Amino acid sequence: MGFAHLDRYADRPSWLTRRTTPAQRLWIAIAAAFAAGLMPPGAWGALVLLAVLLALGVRAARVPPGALARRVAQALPFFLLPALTLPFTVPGPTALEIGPLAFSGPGLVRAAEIVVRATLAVSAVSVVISVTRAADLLAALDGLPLPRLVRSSLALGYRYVYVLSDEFERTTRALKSRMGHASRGRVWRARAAALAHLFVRAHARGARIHSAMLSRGYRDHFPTLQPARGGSRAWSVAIVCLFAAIWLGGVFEAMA
Amino acid sequence: MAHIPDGFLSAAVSATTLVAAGAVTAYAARRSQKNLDERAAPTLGLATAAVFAAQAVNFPVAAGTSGHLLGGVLVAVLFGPWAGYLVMTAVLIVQALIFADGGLTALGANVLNIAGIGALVGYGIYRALTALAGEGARRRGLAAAAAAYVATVLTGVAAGWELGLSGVAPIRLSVGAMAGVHAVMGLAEGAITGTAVWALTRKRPDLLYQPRAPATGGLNRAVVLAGLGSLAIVVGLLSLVASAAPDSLERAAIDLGFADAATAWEGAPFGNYSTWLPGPAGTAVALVLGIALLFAGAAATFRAIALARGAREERG
Repeated sequence: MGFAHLDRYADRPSWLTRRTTPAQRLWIAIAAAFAAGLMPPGAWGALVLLAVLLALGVRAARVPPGALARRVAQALPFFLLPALTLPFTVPGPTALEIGPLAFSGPGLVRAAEIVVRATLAVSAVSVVISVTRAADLLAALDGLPLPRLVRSSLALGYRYVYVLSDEFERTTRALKSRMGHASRGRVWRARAAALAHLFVRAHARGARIHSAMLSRGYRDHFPTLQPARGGSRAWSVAIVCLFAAIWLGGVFEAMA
Repeated sequence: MAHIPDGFLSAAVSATTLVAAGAVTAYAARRSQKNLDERAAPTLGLATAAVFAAQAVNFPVAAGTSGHLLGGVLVAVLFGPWAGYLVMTAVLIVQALIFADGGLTALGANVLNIAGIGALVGYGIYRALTALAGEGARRRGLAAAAAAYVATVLTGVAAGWELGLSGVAPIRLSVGAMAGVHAVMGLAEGAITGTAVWALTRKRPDLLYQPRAPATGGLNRAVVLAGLGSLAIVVGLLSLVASAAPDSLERAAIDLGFADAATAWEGAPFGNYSTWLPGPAGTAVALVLGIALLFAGAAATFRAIALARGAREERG
């Protein structure tokens, strides 16, 4: 686990970062993911259009294509493996036979569609995430229509995840150095106990943070020292509308 | 596998689940704000961080593979069902945005499946079992393990329904395959959750979530009945689907490489679907009866252990 990819390309000035604030970029990413992810089956023209738009976006954000490809490759197993089962499970005439394996035609098409849609959605989100600093992203998340408790959980979760994982690493290192060649059952029990201890520590730290927050006058909100400036509302609205239009076009294409 | 990626759900399913998840999240926020007062923000924030740290730990499973915790039941046992639901929701949002684990269009479905079923339904089952069995560390651990296992399988069933309704694969195939995968994954989830709750109860029983109003007998019975009822309904629906073509279900399981799941299916009580009633009705009756029997058996065992403990403590 790591958040390192977050800040990688955040400080490069680019067309995209000059014209959009992190919050606007987040909405663009959501629009792109929805346009790609919810494209109805059979709308290949709209998918191609989205791919072209994404390629332009990669240039506009100045994200190295190789780095983007690596990010997408990390996410690939999550959707490639389930999609690979479709040629065998979707009923239909056999299109391809390799040895004992019979691929059904409709299943192959559906799997290909899903992989294309998922790849486009993941790359769109990755582009936006990789040009946005983590702290800015959290401030942007604060603008989403989520309950206050979820937003504060996200903010505090990010602030303390490194602290807790460091503590947890120390616990498990101590554990390993004392375990020797223990049986699998003992390793399991010790790790589960360490896990329980992690939550005990989280609880104690939460209580300390609470008093610290009170003493600093916390009022239901984490202020940011650098409010996002700049950006152009018109550009972001235009881009979001463009994604919506492409999706609608895809719906019509699928119906036709 | 538990997280549905982008591109699998149809627009209708995505929109419906997003609206439903939004409604549950708003309600959960109100409930946990009331339960936790002003301590809510730091408690939930640190719990979110802890779940992230915990998911980085790999547990050795078998043959070089390892698994990590989903954590819904564990968080609910510690912080209460509604707070646990919010923590899991925050975790899922970060996973979808930053780790590309689960799609943004599937966020509603993933929240319902993992946070909703994991924390809310899982906690209900845990409460029902502890109400029957009592409060000892080992009994709490076993109850949490059973709850985590059942919740994981139900997560798979729900994901299967959503995929099936989206037209990815025939419903009986997707439900069977997802239930099969999660029936295996749930073993690890149950074992980790159970051991962690056991350790927590021994170390710091004061940290476990205590429902506000002390539970009365009537309430407990209601919780038990509700748990039993919802389980029977879900399994009944599942069996109706499965019974339409048990052969294709097994085929899917074998195609997907989950032959064990298929055998587990067959090994269930009333395994070969042969009962006195013909057709799907007979299968449904058989499966509901089977699950009810399992539940009653577990309940009776827990109760018996509790009674035996009590009697021994009285003597000693």
